[in-house]
Amino acid sequence: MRALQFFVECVLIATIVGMGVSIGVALIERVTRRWTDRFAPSRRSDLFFVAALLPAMCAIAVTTAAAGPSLLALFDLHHDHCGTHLHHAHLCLLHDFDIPALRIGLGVAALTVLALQAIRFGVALFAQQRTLSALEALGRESGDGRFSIVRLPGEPRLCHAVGVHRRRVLLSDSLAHAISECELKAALAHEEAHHDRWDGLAALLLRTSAILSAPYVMRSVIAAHRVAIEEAADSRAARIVGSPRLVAEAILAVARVQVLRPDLLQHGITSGDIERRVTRLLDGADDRPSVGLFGVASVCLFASMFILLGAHPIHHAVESLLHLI
Amino acid sequence: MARLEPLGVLEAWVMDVVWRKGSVTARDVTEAQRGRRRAYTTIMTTMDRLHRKGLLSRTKDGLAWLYAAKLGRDDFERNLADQLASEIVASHGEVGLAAFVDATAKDAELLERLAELVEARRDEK
Repeated sequence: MRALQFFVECVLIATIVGMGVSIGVALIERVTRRWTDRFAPSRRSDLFFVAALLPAMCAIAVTTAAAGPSLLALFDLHHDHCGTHLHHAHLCLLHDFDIPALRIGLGVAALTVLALQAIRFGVALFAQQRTLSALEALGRESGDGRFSIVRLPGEPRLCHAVGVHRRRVLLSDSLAHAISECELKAALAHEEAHHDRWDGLAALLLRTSAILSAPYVMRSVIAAHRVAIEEAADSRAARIVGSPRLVAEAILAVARVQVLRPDLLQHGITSGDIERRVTRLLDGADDRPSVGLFGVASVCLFASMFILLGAHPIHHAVESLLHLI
Repeated sequence: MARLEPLGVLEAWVMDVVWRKGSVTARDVTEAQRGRRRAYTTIMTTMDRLHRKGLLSRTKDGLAWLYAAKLGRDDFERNLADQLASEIVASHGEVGLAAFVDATAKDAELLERLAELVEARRDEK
């Protein structure tokens, strides 16, 4: 019973921190949008990647710092400090305390929200993988380039980079036949650029970490990240095919054949900042190298370790805040 | 046309037999098996399920049902591919697929304007 209460309290802490940080990040993103728009796409995508990961990182780091001493004491790796804490709320796995019903109620509510978000994400991911598998079973794979291309039958015109472990490009025959060879080459270069940059992995990490954020709050940050990665992939594709104008023409050609398919429009597809991407390419704005996904991940890891090094003040701060509930 | 579901292994095999032979009974399909054999009742249940999914039509032939495919193999695969691809397009952005371009109906005018811009830049050079 005590373990369950401890778990519920930890979930409550993670949820409060995650949701609080996510609301703060979303507000800051909105206020600083004009400023961040001036960044080169790769740097902007790194920035939004960290910003979108921040709520989950803070939630995990703070909860670990808060729960750490009690968990360590359980294995005799830390002294039992309960005696010095009895004057206020104490996050403890070792001793029985009377926990206010309000705190338990809030913890259960937080657990419910997290579980619902995790289930929603899991179901969407499973459904998408199932659809992809069924669709790819109808196609044929060719391995001419660095990443295999799966040519698909059917009218909806797909040109999608998919996969994290087995990275590939889905390409509809109907799309390949509707645009010129040069435009197709530019479109495929763009999708390969996504794979080179590990954008699929980044997007999956962001969606997973959004489970610990306030529902719907991080959508603007994730959308900003998506625009940044599209622009970064455009720039890389322009370098590969040697012409930004060709990439701009390919974007317009693919957009045009999609617009002519009214049944697709019923799905509420977003405009995807086509105007911004095309004008940026025509203006010749170049991208600048950035630290990339693994560089950003390293920075995040060090930041988490830094937070955990200051575990004692965080542990006490969390308990003081719990005392208010 | 009802929503098409991707076929399971046994369903795909049964449909393959129906597409090759035309009109068949569950007994015909059972006898067409080689290697690992499924029970007649399993085949019958599978064909009944395919009928309920709208993939097979059936007429009474004495005591047995005579099944036939409602769609040819090519039509089935094309319709299924259309439907699955539409689902992928609709779910784009949900779990991290990266599409080259997304577009909306209101983009038609925008696309024309941008195409003119591209042409103008081409003329400048």
